[in-house]
Amino acid sequence: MHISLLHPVEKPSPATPVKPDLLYHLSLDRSLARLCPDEASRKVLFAVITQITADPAEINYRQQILAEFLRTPALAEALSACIAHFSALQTAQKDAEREARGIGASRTATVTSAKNLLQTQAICCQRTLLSVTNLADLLDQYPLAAEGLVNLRDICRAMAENPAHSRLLHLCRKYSEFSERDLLAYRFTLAPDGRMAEYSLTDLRHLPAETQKKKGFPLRTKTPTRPGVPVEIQDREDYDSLIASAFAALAAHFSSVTRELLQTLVPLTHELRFYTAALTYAAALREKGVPLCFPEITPQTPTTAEGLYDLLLLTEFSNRDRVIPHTVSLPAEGGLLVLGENGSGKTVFLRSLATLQLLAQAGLPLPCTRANLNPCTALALQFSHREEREDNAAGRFEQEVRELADMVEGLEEGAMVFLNETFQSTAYTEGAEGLCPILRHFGACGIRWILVSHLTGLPAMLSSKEAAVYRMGADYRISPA
Amino acid sequence: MMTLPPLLTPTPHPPLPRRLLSDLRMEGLLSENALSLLCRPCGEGEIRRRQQIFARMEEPSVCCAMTECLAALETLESACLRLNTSAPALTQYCLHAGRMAAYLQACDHLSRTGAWGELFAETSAYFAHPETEQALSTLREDLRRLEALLLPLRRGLLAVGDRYRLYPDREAISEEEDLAACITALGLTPPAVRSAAVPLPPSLSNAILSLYPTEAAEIEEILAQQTGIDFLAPAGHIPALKFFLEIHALTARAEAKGIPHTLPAIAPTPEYCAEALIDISLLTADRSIIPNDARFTEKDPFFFLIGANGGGKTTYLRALGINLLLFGAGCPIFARSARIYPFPRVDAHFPADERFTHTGRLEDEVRRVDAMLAECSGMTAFLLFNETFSGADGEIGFAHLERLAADLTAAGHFCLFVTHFHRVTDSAYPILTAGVTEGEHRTFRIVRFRGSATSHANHILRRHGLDADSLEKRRTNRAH
Repeated sequence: MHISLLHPVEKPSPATPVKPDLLYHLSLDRSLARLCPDEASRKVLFAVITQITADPAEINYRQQILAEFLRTPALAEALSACIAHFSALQTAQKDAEREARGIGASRTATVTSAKNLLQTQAICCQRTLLSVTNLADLLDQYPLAAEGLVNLRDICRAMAENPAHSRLLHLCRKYSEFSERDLLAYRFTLAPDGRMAEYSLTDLRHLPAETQKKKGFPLRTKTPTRPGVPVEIQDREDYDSLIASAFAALAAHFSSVTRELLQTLVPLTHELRFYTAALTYAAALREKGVPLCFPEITPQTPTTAEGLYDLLLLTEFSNRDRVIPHTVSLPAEGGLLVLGENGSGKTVFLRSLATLQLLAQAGLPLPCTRANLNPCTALALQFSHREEREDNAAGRFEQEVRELADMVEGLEEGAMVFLNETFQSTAYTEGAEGLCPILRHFGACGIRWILVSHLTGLPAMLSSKEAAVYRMGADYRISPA
Repeated sequence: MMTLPPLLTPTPHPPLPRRLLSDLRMEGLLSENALSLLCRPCGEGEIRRRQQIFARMEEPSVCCAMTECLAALETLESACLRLNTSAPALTQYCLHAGRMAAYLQACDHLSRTGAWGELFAETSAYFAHPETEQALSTLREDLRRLEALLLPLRRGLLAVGDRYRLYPDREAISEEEDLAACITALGLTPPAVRSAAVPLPPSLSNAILSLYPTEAAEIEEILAQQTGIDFLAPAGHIPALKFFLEIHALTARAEAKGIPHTLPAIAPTPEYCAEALIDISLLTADRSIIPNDARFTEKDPFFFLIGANGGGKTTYLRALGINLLLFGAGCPIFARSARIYPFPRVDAHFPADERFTHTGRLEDEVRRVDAMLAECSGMTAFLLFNETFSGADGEIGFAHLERLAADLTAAGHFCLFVTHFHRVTDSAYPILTAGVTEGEHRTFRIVRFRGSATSHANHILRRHGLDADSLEKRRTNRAH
C-alpha cells in the first residue's frame, strides 16, 4: 500500500541532492525564513527543495496538491490535524511493544500481564482503524482534483468499506473489554510427536450448547458430537503459560495491523509540513501583491519566465514595486552569458534564475506571471567565496578551480550550472581563456550553464550556438547583447 | 520376527592401536565413526565386498539413495530415543506412531539396498523373506489404524472458566486465523505463525483419553501387539552407511583438487605397490601435493628412508600408512593405481613427547618397539618407523637400529624406516632418499638412493640465522 503526498509512485526516481551551501549562496535561507517563520515546516521545505527531482510527473503531483490546498486552506488544516493523530497513536503503540518485549525478555509473562498487553494492542488497533475511517470521511467532504489526495481518499475509503475492516473492529472491541476470568475457549492441536503445537483462542460459538452462556458473549448452539469431559487440573502453571502465549499471539496480530498502517500514514505528517510551509510562503507573497504561478513542466524546451521577481529583494522591501521583475528565456541547450557593469543586478538575476529552477522543481509556485520549466537532473552553483586573506588571489583562484573540477567530475547530461563572476580573482584575459574551454565542455556534455561575468572578452570566444549573450543595463533590466 | 543381520563383518584380528591414527594425522581428517572402522582391518572377502560398494557409489543415484537411507535410519533412531515413558499417555501414543512410521520408512529404504552390492545381500534377503514381509504388512496396517484413531485426539476445544472442560473439535477457526484473514483482506501482512511445541499437560492428556475411551483402548491393544519388535535394529546400519558416505565425500573433495583415487587390486601374497601415492592429510593445505610411488615386495620388503630435512620423508611415510589403513578397511586409496596385500597388522613408531618420568627417551622407545613387535608376532605386518632411536647417542642409537632392522627382516615384516643415521647407506638394505636439486631445493620426490647422503640441515640453519657465521656475527655485535 503506497501513500505519499510527495511521490506518486512507491519507488520514486532518484533525487539528486544539492550541496549544503547552495541555500546560503542563493540567500534562500534568509528569504524563506522571512516568508515561512515556522522552523519545523521550513526545515522540511528545505529538505524537499534540496533533493532535486527531474520527474515531470512528480513535480505535477505536488503542484496539484498544493493548488488544491491553496484553493481550500481548510482542507490542509483539517488534514494536518487528522494526520497528527496518527503520530500520537504510533507513540502509544511503540510503548506497548516495548513493554511486551521487556516482559518477554525477563520471562515474567503472567496471564494478567499478557491479557493487559492484548487489551492495549486491541485498543491501539481499534483507534488506528477508526482514524483511517475518519480520514476517509474528512476527505469526502471536499471535491478533490489532485491525484495524490484522491489516491489517499480512495485508499482509506476502500479500507474503511472493506468487510474485513468491520470484522477487525469487532475483534478489537471484543478483546479491548474482556477479562481473563471470563469464559474463554481455546483450540489446541498436537504435533506429530504428541507435544502441543498450537493453543489459540477461538470464538465461544464453537463450543457445544451445553456450555453456559456468559454475559457479553452471545452463543450460537451447535449439535455436540459427543459431550465434554472435565479436566482435572494438576498444575495450573502448565495452562497459565499456554494461555499467556495465546494472548500474546493475538496481541501480535493486532500490533502488526497498527504498526503497518501507522508506518504508512505517519510519514504524511512530515510531508504535510512541506505543504504547510509552501502555503505560508504563498500567502506571504500574495500579501505583498506578488503574482504567483505554477510553471508548466516542458522538458527539452527553453525555460521561460515572465515578470520574475527575486525572492530576497521581495522580502527586503516592503513595497513590491521597488523590485524589478525580469522576463527571461534560458536556452534549451548550451549557455547563457550575462554581462554588465558592477551593481547592475547581475547577481540578483542569477539568483532569481537558480531559485526559479529549485522552487519549481520542488513543486512550488513561482513569483512571476507565467513560466515554463525545463527540469534539470542536478544543479550546481559557483559563487565567489569570502576568503580569510582578501589579497590571496592565487588561493581563491585555486579554490574556484577545485570547485569547477568537482563539477566537471560529477555532473552529467541534463544538469545545470550557475556561475557567478567565476575567475574574477585573476587577470581578465587569463580568466576568459581559462573559463572558455570549461564552458564549452559543459555544453558538449549536455550541461546547461548560466554565467554572470565581467569578462567582456568571452563573447568573442564563444559562438552563438555555444552561448546566448545578454547585457544588464543601468535600469536593472536585461536585454540581448 | 527374524533378526536383521549386521552389515559389516568384524575382523578376526585384534584392532589397531588408536595412537596410530593420531600419529598419521588422521584424526583431523575423518570422524570418530570412520576412524573406529579403520582400526579394524578386514580380510580379503570383506575388502572386496566394500570395494564393490564404493565402486557403485560413483553413480550419483546410488549415493543419493544411500544418503536418503541414512537420513531415514537417523530419523528412526531419534524417534526411538524420543520415546519417553514419563511423558503423558497421549504423547507416548503419538511417539509410538512416529516410531512405527520411521521404522517402516527405514525398512522400505533398506529393502532396496540389494542393488548396491554383495555387502547388502543379506539385508535385502531379510526384507524379501515372507516372514518379514508379513510382519511389515501387519505393521503398516497397525499404523494406518493407529493414525486414524489418533486423528480426532490431536485436536480439541478447551472451555476455560471457573472450571476446565474439554470438547471434541472439528471445525473451529482460531481467532488468530480470523484475524489473519482480515489483515490479508485489507492488503496488509499478518505476522508469521508462531511455532514452538510445548509439552502436553498430563491432565489434558488424561481428559482427552477419557473423552475417547474406545479409541484409547484400541490404541493400547495395537501397541501391545508390538512388544516383540526391535524397532531400533535397522539403526544398527547407521555407522556403516555413514562410513561409506564419509569416505566417498573425502574422495570427492580430493577429486575437486585434482587428486585421483583408486580401488587397489588385492594381492594374494605380501606386497605394497602403488603409483602416485598421496598423503591425503595434506588435503586442506594450500599447496600442491607431490605424489610418490611405492614398491614394497617380498624381494624388497624393507627400506630405509634418508634425506634432506623438510624433504617429505614423514609425508611419504604418512602416505604409505594412511592409504594402507584405507585399503585395509575396504576403502579407495589416493593413488593412480595400486596392488596391496591385506596385511593383518599395521603399526607405526613416531617420536613421543618428552614426558617420561622414570625412564629416558631411548629406554621408552625400546620398550614401545618391543611392545609393537609382540603385537605382530605370528603375522606379516607392515610397520612404519619415524626417526626411531634418533634421540640417542650416535653409536648406541645406530646399534639399536641395526638390531631392530635385523629382527624385522627375520620376522618377515614389511617396513619403512625413516632415519638420519646416514651410515645405513653402508648396509645391505635398500635405501630411499628425499630428493634435493643442486640448488638445495627440495623436490619432495622419494627415489632410490645412489650416492652420498646429507641432511642439508645447514641450509635451513643459515636461513634462520643459526649457522656458525651468523651466530658469531651476532656475538660480535653484542660485544660492541
